[in-house]
Amino acid sequence: MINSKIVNVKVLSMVKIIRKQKNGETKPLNDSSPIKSFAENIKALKQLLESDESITFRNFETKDSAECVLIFVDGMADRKVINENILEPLMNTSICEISDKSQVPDYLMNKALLSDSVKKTDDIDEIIDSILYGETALLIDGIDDVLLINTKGWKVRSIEEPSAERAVRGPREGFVESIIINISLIRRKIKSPDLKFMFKEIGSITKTKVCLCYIQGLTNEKILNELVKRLDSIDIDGILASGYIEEFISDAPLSPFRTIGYTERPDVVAGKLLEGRIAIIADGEPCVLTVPFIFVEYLQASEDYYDNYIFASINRLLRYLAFFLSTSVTPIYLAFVTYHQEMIPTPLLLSIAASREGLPFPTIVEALAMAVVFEIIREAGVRLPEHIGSAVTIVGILVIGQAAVDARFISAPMVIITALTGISSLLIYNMKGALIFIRIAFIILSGFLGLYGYIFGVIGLFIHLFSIRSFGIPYMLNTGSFSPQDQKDMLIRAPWWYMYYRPKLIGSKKPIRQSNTTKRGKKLI
Amino acid sequence: MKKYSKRSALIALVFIMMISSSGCWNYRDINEVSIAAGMAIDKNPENNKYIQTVEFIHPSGGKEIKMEPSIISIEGSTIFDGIRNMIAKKGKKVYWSHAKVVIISQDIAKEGIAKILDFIMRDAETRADLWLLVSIEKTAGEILRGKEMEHNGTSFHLDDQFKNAKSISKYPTVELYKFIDDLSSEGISPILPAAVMTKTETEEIIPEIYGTAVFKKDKMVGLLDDIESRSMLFVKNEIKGGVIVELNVTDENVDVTLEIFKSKTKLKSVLRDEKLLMKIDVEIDAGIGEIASSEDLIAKEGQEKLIKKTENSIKNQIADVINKVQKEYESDIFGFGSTIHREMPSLWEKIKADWDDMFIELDTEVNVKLNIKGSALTSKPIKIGD
Repeated sequence: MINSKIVNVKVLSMVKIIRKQKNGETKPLNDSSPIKSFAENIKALKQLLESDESITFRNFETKDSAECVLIFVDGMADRKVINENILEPLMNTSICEISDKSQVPDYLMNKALLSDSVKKTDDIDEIIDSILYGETALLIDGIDDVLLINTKGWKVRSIEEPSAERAVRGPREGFVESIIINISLIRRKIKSPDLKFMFKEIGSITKTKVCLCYIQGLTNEKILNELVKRLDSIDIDGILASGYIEEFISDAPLSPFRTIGYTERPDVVAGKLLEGRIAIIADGEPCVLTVPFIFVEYLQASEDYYDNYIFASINRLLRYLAFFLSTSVTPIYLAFVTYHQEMIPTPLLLSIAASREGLPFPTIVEALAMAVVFEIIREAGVRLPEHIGSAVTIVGILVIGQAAVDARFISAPMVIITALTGISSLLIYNMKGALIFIRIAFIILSGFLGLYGYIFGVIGLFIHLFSIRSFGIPYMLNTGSFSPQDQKDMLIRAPWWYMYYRPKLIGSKKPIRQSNTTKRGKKLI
Repeated sequence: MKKYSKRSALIALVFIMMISSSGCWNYRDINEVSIAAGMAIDKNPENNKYIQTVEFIHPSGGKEIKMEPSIISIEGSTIFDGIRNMIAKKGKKVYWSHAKVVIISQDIAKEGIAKILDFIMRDAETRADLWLLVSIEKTAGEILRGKEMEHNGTSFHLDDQFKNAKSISKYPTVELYKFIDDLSSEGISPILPAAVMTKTETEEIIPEIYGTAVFKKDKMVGLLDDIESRSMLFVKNEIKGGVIVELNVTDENVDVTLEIFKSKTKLKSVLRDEKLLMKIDVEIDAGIGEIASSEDLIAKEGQEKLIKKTENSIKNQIADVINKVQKEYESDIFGFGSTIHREMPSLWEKIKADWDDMFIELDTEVNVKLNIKGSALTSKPIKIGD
């Protein structure tokens, strides 16, 4: 690949085009080759960008008839900027009277071009990359260097509320697909010089811009260095979304649980940055990753922090309950009905027995089938065009719910339990993958071993959860702690005036969050 | 990599072995068992076999759930034998964990019931909190066969009668474990509630719990009626509610009904003049539930009269029942022996061999204290104008 490119480049002669070699050294490519004419350079560039008809070559002359050409990608570059800020001033400028030709680019940069960012370069790769990223290249007859003018301007989606993370109270803005806008959204929330952004490029073909974002002084450098090391070791042709990165740098790649968080909300990212976490923004996707990610973050919602803390705590507890319900109701029901009938209160036992009378399938088959059917309906609902959504609802309610019970295929209690499980799992939708996996595993264990098997499953789940780490931070951080300080943002959300410290380990570099004045203020209340 | 696959193979092996060796051993869907609700045990005098009458509940139906009780009788040389013989008639295996009552016939109770309780206590499915009762009809089976009105099954009917017993307190409630506990303890004899059949206005025959069957060791020796049962429960400190009717308080036709809120009985054994004496101190908190007269019994004077009269009659009732049990049944159902055991252990060691004879002669002293409490004090009786 590199060889063929070199051949192409040889045809070019921007006098001294420099190519970066793989080993990182730079060396002039065509030092010995004679200076080619302006026309030949253009021809060479055209050859390099061959059969890409979206690239526009615009030939024009300056006031004193010096030949120039602008190269840009249609749609990536802003035409208005090119017309008004590049073409117009250049056509009114004379450059022939400048005796030293090497001074021409500087003269244009200083006096003619109305652009905030103009770069002088002779690196062919940089030129190509910049053109493909929406910048405009200016070539002038007789001048060695190429000017790269920032004309990036493509259509982006407007900022709107992310549909997956709605909040009744709190900001309504969400990230978009443009990394620059995303950064600005974060910057707008944290106006501190300590907020740092570090750019990386991942993907040998897509050359996706990735930005690490952290607050210096809060973030643990060890975690930052580890993250940079893992990002640098990614070697893939393309990254289309942050999910690619997530899988490459995850601590527990085989686990159904995520060790890296994601969100579409700038306020959530800002909150996590303030706790000492690091955000990873990938260009082209509105989901921003945050590390380290621990288990409780599944159960925290942005609104928890904006609403009344009592209400927020109730909601948080409900999410814990939902986690239990969605993983365990079906397995426990299954174990009770098939092994431990003595544990069901008599009236309930009788009504379950009545509804199961004469049913064709054993309870375990029923449980598994209903779990799968629910997932099918859920998946259908997610990916369906909006206007057929109601069809799925009708099928779900009528066919599965009523008809199956009326036809005595499925018992009514199982439908109720599946519905309860399904609704509960929607409360913690973030965790859906893990929930499905755990539920099915627990159902199978319960079906074969009864409550004994279910308990086995729970023990296994706990061992797994307590054994994984996210960037060195235990996944179940503080879960076993009895200190009230550690529990302030776990089961409940303590009032803000009571949360003096940042989370342990993650924000331990500067643990104090509030000054003593706030504490004194609290005492006044 | 090799190590890794070895490990996962090992884990898979553990799982397969775990599931295949222990999995599913007790798997049975809820609709594959017959749910037994209660059992009555009789003895066939002709061949000396046990006749077991079992009530099953058959829940069925999709939208409208129907519970149909059915009753099957079977004979067996032992209880367990009979229960297994049931499969031949019933098809499905009987499931005992939700059984509520075991009714024992009078004949068996008089012969001794320890040997039939062994299976019920030993079996894994039956619960230790089954209600035990004695049928004082001819057979125990007819209690189960009796019609009942509220429930789908006589057993559940009986279960409710026991569960709500604390608001009537005219019969004891005895769970299996309590009976066996009393049976195996020193210085106390067990009791069981007794069941009879009564006719309702619609000529249906329904089971009714009435009074107490008194046991000596594991043999039934006699019966107490409802008031005697209540007095006995006062002594045993098992009264949690119920009503006391006091007739003719001041005059003819001045009847007052008191509702018991709280009752506490203290048994105390004392030596007086070298003789054992059992002091029974009953303290009752009650409210006025009904005054069937326009006479003012709320005011201090009337109230004192009422309290005095009621205290007296309760005291007499208690003394009567103690006397009856001592003289007629000679069985220490009140637990006087265990009170002495607890309070004077060294004395008990000396007298325990002769306790049965000593109990008959034991002196008792009953003190009753009645406190009238509650808001009913403020509402005046209905005055009838001219």
